[in-house]
Amino acid sequence: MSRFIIGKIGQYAIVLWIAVTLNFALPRLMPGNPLALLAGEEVGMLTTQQRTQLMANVGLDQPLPAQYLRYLQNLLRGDLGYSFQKNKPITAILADRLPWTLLLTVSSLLLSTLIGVTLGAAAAWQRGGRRDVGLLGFFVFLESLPSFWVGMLLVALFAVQFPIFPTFGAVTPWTSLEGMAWVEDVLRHLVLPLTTLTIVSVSGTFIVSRYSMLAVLGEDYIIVARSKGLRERAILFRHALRNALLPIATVFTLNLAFAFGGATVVETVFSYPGVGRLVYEAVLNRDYPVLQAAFLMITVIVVIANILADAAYPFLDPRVRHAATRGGTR
Amino acid sequence: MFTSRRFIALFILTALLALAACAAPTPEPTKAPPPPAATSVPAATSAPAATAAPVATKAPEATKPPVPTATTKPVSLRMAILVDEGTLNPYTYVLGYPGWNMLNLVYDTLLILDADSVPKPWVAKEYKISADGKVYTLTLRDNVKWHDGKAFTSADVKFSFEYYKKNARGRFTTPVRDIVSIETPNETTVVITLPAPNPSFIYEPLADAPIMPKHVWENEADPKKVTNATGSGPFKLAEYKAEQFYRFTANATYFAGKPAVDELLMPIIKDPTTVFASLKTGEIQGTIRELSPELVKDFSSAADMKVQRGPGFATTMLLFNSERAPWDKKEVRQAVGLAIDTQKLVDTVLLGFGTAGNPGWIHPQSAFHDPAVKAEFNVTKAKTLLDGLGYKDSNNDGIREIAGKNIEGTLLVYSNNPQRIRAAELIAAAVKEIGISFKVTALEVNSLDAKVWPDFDVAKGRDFDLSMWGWSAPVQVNPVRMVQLVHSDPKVGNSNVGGYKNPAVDKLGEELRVTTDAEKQKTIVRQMEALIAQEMPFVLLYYADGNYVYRTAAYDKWVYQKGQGIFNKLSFLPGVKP
Repeated sequence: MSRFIIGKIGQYAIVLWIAVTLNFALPRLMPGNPLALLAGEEVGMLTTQQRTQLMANVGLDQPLPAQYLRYLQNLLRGDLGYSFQKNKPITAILADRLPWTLLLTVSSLLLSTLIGVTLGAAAAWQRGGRRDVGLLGFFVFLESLPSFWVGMLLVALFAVQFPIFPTFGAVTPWTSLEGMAWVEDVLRHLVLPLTTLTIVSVSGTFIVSRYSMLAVLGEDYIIVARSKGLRERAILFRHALRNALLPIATVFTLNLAFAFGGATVVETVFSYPGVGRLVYEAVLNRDYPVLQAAFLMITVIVVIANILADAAYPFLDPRVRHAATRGGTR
Repeated sequence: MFTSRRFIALFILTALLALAACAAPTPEPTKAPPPPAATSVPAATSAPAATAAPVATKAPEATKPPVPTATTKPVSLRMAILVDEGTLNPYTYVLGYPGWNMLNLVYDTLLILDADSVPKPWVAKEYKISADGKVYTLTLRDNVKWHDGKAFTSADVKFSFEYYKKNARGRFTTPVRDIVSIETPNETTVVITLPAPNPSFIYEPLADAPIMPKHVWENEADPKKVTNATGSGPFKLAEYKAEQFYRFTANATYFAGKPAVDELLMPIIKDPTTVFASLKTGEIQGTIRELSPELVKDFSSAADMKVQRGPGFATTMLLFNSERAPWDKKEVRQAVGLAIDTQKLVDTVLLGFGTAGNPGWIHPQSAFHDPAVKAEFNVTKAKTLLDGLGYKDSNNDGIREIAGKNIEGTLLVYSNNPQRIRAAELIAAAVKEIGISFKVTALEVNSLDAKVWPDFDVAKGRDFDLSMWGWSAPVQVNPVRMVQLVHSDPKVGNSNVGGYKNPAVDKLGEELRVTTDAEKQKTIVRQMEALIAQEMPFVLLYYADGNYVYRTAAYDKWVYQKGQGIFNKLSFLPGVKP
């Protein structure tokens, strides 16, 4: 068992190292560089010497291997670097923004999983029925909607036409709300972005759980359960859904990673101060340290999601549990 | 502000709400759960509805519109920007517009551009230029104070210019680079000596570079890390929350009088569609963002709102790589210029809200413009020019050949600029008429810049055929800057991105750069204008108008600064005429 775990840790360490290296290389392979960011406007009027000085100030005059080594050293010390654009340590920037992105993405993930799984199971239960066809059609339609469009539509309807919700931000700016008033304000600002993100991400879960359910419903033990005279609801929840959960759990962990990417557009439309928008701006500005740090963070989240999935499978599926045990004691 | 406990509590609450929301539709096999949103969706086929939606004229009650007339009640104005401008000092602001304009609410310049964009005395109440054009003597007002109460003196001016010289910052460093000496005989006198006469000096740095307080900055080694925004301007930066908002409060003791707005709130809203939606709801009352032509009509008819329009000095051009055949031939460039109907571009792309390009660079509303220089649209003449060069279409594919090879070029354009992409497509169609093929290729901003202007250093060459290009308003404001666009020496022509070369243009340019006499200057500008129109290193397509919308009840004393828009210091100081 312990060798099995060490092997896993080794695998993840290699994955992380490759990711860190790619994160370092990719931004530098893009055309352009952060000089415009460092010099400000009218960069074209600077002398060669001034340009060199500006690049040297942030260590970009060094050869790439030296930059890479320094990056690794800093990383091991937990120093993510300094943003060229924001003139702030990246850890501070991420600490400001990560909570908002997590609030948005994790709530949306939970919401879309709950809706997707429940309706997916319900649809599969009546395969080919009116409800199944209707739901399937509806979710395929949702899948095809671009998130910025959904966001703008919701703003047009529920902020402009019927001014119920605010159009931008995560909290009402320049106020100092406290306690429950603050929570209420945050929730009011959360409704539209959360709805948008959920609308565009719920279909995947629905479709996976529907097919997963369909597969399970065809199994012999369901027929046995039926012939035993069990109530429909008991069959659905105790026998079918539980067994159908495995692929859904996989999709959930994968979604956890992708949620950050999906949030970028939503964060832009609603000016939500999250991480997604930060990455987008950093790409446009060639803000290398921010790109490195943000991609690293996303990689780490993907890896953690994978570890969680790996760890959760044995609980969800006894077959995996036995296989893992056998693999470990061999 | 964001304690982790608060966050966890909130998170649990959200999760509970999510659970509650989902508890309802448990699969009840008999009742089909109606898809809730399905009915509302088809109604919204006109997608960018956020802006086109029927206007909600009433501001929500929650946002009390300030009463404009009451002098007793403080005026609070909410005006959106789209990008975080950092800690807002001369080294950290991000965009030339609106970052520099915001900077100028907090800081002061020695001279100021008036409503006609002409430099006028400001903190320096007068200035004298010596007969040889090299020595500038400025007299400062004696009643100017920093926000912390200390006096603004000549020492601050000397310190700032020397600081800019030492710490590179594109816009502010270059204009002070060649200063020979700065003397401060007393607290209100600054004497600046230049190596050569320089007519640009009154624009940059005098009406452009903010003066920083010496007592705050003198011990700062890394200007990018300065967070203290003490200035002398009409507003104090009271609060800045990264990525969220700026809050400015009026400087009651400002030398030119207290600004008419007591509190200026500037939220950062990243999506332009959301900006205009917020304007409709009344969450904001104005924005620095220009209205796109499609929205002008919509907002012009809205109650409580006003659209103010004026000339814009930002340029849009078709840039040739003058080093690459066949664009190195003047006649080919002229033929392309003759094939493009710039007025049609204004009508189609800008819906009429703009001025057709003057091939000689200078905006037709500028005092320097020579009305004799005009754009010409003449397809027949264009064809004749190409025929004259012997470039014929011998294989009848509609495209002329040079030595058996089609005349083709790739026209680059920023992928984030739909207006320019539209213009590029129209241009491609227009030059096809005269037998030239343009392939329009959209590229992300940095990737395009890396091809057209590698490292922003024209000495490093270029790798493109043609590109849609443009310069911001300040380049047009100072007519002498046209030399930078066309001079063949990279040190002088540091914005000559097309690599254009012509000894006659160089000679005129060198003369213009040192001419301080107003009349003589105008003569040379006009000569150069005519020469550029003739040579066509670029085809100037149009100058888009500025259209700015705001809620009149919130504030309506905006001053449209010629070519540059309403967001400027003078807009907050009604009645002050520099």
